[in-house]
Amino acid sequence: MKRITLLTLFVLTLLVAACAAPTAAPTQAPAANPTQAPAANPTQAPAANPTQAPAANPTQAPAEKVEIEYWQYFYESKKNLVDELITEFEKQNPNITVVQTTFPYEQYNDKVAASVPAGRGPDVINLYYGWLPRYINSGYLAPLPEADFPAAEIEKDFVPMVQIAKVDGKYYALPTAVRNLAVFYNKDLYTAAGLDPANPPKTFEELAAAAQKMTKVENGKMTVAGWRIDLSNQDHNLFREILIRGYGGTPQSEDHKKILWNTTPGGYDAWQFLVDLTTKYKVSEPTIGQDGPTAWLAQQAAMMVSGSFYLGTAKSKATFNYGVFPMPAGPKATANFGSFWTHGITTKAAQDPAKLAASVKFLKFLTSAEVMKKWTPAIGELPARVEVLQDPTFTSDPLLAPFLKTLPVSYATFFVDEAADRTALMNAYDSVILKGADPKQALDEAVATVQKLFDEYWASK
Amino acid sequence: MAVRSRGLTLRQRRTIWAYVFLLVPLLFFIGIRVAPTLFAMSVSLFKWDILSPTKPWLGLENYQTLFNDPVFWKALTNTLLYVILSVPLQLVVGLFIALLLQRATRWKGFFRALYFIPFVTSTVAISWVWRWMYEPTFGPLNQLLALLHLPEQKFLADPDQALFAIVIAIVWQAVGFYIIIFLAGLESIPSDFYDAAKIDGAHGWNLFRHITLPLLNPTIVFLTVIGTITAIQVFTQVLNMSYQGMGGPLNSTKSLVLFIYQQGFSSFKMGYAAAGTVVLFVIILLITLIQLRVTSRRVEY
Amino acid sequence: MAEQTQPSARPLPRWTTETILYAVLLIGGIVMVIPFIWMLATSLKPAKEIFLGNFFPLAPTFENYQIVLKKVPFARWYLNSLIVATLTTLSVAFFDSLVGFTLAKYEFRGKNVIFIFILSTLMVPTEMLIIPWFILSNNFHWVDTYWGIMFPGMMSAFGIFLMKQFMEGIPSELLDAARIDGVSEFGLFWRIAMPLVRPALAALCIFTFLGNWNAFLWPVIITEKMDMRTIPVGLSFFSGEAGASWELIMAGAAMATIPVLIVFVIFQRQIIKGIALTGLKG
Repeated sequence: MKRITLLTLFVLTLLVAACAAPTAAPTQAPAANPTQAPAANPTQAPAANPTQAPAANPTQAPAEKVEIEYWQYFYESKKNLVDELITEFEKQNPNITVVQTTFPYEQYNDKVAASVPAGRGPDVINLYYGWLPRYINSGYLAPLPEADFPAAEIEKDFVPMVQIAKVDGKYYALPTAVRNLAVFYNKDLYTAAGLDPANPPKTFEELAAAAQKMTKVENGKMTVAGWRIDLSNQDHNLFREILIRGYGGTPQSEDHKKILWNTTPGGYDAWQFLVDLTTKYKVSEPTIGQDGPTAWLAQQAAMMVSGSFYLGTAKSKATFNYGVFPMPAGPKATANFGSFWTHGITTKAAQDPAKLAASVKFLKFLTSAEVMKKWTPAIGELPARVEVLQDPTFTSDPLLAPFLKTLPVSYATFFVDEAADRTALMNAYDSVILKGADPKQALDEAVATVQKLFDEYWASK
Repeated sequence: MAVRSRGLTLRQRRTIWAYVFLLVPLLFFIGIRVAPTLFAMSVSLFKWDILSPTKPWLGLENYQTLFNDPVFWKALTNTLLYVILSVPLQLVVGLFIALLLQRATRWKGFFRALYFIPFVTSTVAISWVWRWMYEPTFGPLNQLLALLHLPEQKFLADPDQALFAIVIAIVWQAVGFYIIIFLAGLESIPSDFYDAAKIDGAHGWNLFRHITLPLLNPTIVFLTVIGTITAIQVFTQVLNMSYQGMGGPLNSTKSLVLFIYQQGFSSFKMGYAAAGTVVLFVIILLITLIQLRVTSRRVEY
Repeated sequence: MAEQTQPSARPLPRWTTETILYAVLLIGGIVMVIPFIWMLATSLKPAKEIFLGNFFPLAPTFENYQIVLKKVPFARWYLNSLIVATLTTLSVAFFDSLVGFTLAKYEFRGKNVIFIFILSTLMVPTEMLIIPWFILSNNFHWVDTYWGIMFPGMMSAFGIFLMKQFMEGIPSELLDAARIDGVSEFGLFWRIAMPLVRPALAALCIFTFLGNWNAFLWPVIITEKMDMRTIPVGLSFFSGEAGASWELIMAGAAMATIPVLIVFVIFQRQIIKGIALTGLKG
């Protein structure tokens, strides 16, 4: 009994202590205060003092130490590489300390968002390009200083898809690397079906034909999908940028105000092809595997569309011979979907000249050609600078080359709400496949849903 | 103390003590739960995308939009289905097994641990296992059906079955909780009640009907109310088990909290999500008050 | 149950009911434990076996456990979870019982209102409280502290309701008798009531510990430093853009489950013992 009483007392003390603490603490939070958890990271302690009052020194002498914080989602190889890069950067800039913090991938967006109203957050942040419109619109990101990142130079040196981060003539973010899609295929299943794995399909028609040959049906039940269509993974992107453009259309109006999926030339045809893969060609079933990548890894699917970021997983998990071939051509054109995680500087950092200067330096470093040369082999993402793209070590890599081939025709979709956009297409597809809805009508409904989101977004600007 | 309290009646003194005992907890609930809740709810009158420092006033517009949103109604219907299906099932199965466990004299601890294991295990990990159990092509459940010459099912990939499939997994995981509470309730029934009833010739079903069930009433009230509150807020299992992780296929498994969460943290419509929260709160409050009124009637015998 | 449904019929021989009882318990138990065994089996599979669909590992290995222990500060996460879950459980056990006792055994104005008021805090999904809690935490510098992880759960309406239900079963005469013997009001709660509700208290401790041990969303938001994460947050690091490393998640989840099972085995005995210790029987 005595022990329990003691423990209870301890808890009470703790409560009282914790409740008392707030009154002592100042309420305006100096952004990233490293003194908060001294036990958690003792290595930061020395840096804590100098950063406390950076604005106090009006001269901003270069000798003054600055600490900046960098946030990204957790991806083991990315985190490790950035740690290495930071060490290198700090060596070049002895006055700057960079602290990297990572968060679980699936909760990253939630975490960043939840931090904003609290006025907490990093100085340099890694965001998915599709989230940018919101973050820019709300004033969370500061425009990159034109003097350090001239727009003309970015447009000359970087792959065109980075221009999606340009709003009202200003760039708000710049990536180290970009990615696009290709077809992952199981070479063993190719051989077993009497196809030549060294000679993969060049057009979508050939792709569908090859998929048909590899599809296996036993007792009326599909056991292997020739090509698993999964809109919750990459195939919504396949539709928007690859198929619509492949059939001669454009998915959005030039000013990103109108969704053209059902009005652009070839829009319905592209959609019909996607639906036909399940209903007419019968190369896919939603019941195959739990999702595209799982089905592919379990050899329940011979092919799937995925990104270069998937190469690492394929390497560690695939138990069969596999390869990657470039995105095939549509009847009218070849196109690909491009996307990227990109670094921006927060408004918070921009308010402090010392931090801004350090952040700019760090961002320049992260987007330099030297870093890209390290990034691509370590992560599998493609370099964002054109000059690095042409590096023969990459163009000759059998797994990277298929992605690089279509990089010049890779388009990044402008999203106002990526998840809702994807869900609308997913539901349209499911209602056709699972409920037998009319494909055109289903697509029209998806367009209406997404158009509404776009209208709301533009109205709020 | 004795001198000062002389002016107070015994009853007044006890009342003072009651307030003293409640002081710290009430401060806690007001500060940590109620104030944040009021903040969260007040957002429903504004348009707020979390990221913007400004919140334009909208009045009741969020509510209007909500009531015209077919996905909201779908999520609400699904949620009620989750409750109606899972709560009675958990109560019945939980009580049945608790009674069996109470009667078992051997390997008590072992059996209890067995039934409690699902509740202990991480929902995320176990949801993955369930997805494999339901896997249509070669998952064990379809293999079992094939073995019994029954038609194979699509389970989570079928909009007409997915919700039921998730309910089974939820019940499977929650039943350990019900068993433990029922056991605690059963153990709290003094055995002399049974002895007396047995002398009167009651046994078996009669004993259960006239002694066990009435004396378990506080436990049943508790489990019904808590079970309903929990089921209305079903979230993790749907997020982790539903086809494509979004409450699909075709929103057939989307729960109200998942809807709210997606609106708030994925679409950044925090005001809209808050309106959903207020509606959810009102629904739960009403159901709870009704349940407490109906079930808490003191049983006299 | 078998014989309970036919009260007037000739009772079945004892061994038959016993056999049926254990058979039902065992079959039910197997159903309960299969997914868990699958989880353990998966944790012993090499990464390449995960998607083959086999139940038992073809080439069992402890590699996944080694990876989890080596790659991430798992021991530290373990400690964090242990501290957080233990302290929260102690706080909940004490305060929830006290409030439950007060609501059950005292008559005062506003009693029902206070009860519904407390209960109503369960009716808002915690997902919606994240932003206000985080603003609060940031202002008070609770980010990356144990207190920050714990504070929302230091008392729970769930436990108060549970304890209230069980405290109501305590005969008021017992308390009155103790009052006459000079026991203080707090003593009534601590020395008379608490031992009597031991089964419920044990259940409450189990659930609170478990709830905090498995808590996910709030700890994700409130912790930023790798060293302050808890186990569930840590495990989510094995899930990423290109799918999840389920073999590692399962290994981590298996390691996370074991202490909770131990806690359970310890506390569940309390659930049985409860009444035997009290004077209720006479």
